[in-house]
Amino acid sequence: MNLYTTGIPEKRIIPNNAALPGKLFVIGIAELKIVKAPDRVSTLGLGSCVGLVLYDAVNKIGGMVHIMLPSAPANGGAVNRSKYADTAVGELIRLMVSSGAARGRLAAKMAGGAHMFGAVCNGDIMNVGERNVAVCRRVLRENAIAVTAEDTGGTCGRSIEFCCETGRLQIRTVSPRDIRLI
Amino acid sequence: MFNNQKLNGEGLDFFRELENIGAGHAATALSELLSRPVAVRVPRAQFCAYSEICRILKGPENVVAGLLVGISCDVSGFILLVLDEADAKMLARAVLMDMADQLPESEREELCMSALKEVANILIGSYITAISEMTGLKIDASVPELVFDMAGAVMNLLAVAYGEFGDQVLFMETEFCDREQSLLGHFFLIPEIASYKTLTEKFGI
Repeated sequence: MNLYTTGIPEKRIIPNNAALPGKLFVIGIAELKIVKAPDRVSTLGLGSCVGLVLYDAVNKIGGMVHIMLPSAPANGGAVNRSKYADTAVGELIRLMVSSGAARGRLAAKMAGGAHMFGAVCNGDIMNVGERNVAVCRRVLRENAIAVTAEDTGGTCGRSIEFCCETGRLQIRTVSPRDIRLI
Repeated sequence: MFNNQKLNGEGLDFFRELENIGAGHAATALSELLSRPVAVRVPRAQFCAYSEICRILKGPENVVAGLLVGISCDVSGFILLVLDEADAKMLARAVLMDMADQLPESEREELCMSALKEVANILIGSYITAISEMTGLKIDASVPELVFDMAGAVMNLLAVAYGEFGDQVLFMETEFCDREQSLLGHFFLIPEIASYKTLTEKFGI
């Protein structure tokens, strides 16, 4: 990040995936989407939110959910199950299976859960990223699903894109500027 | 919690008033800092959906400067100021003028970051003063923290703070301008749950 140079601001990271076959679906906060090869699914600007992906590598079915908070309100009622880690993992498993994925073959990848403003304070709001990741891990473990790769924590925002053909999760960050695959 | 319907009526009037006073203080402070007249334009306070905020900030991947100040005492929570990356750079240059030209790259960066934090302190401080003046509440502010990152990631804080109560977010937009340049600031007031009641009572909503 060069604060001092004049002229056009640095361009945002442009995904270099335009040439890939298949469609790209972009989900927003607290949304969920199941896709099949050769399609891809993506979510942009994860801060403390967690992007969780489940994948059946044989049937090449993948699902992504953009999780916002660790737990659903205790009083129950109708909630958006994709919004909370404790309900979203189960919801994603259910929809993966009903879309034809094999329950026993599911593997997980996740990214996000950053601590965007670490220095200001450490209240409940501030460590929500860490708690989101912890609840995801716990529920995945309870469901005997292994986390094969993750890029969580830290202090930077992430955009992610999952390719159902390859099973790779692309992670893009702007500070520092980087693209990597897990 | 902020009541959506009330907020669109008399409650929103209160925030518009708050916005006017806060922006007025901020413009005065900014003119002193830059030694030239700074005007405030079209202050607006509005309530909108979280997804709409990301659109206003040019999409979740657009790089923005997020300046966060923690508030405490009678009201606790946060005030977040979001500037476009280009606006933040312009502001840092305007404040430093030619002061940083001779410095090596690394020191220059550091100086720019502290200049921006200082400006944020002054701008956010103006709003805090306005809230105090209008409500009689005492509010202390922490040292600001500055991040440059994707708008979506910066705004996660808001989604989390408001997430339990629905997806509507209150924000105040202020445009500062002098003869050549203009700068758009987005201020977000994020009270902690316990402080909602204090604020809404004082705001009369």
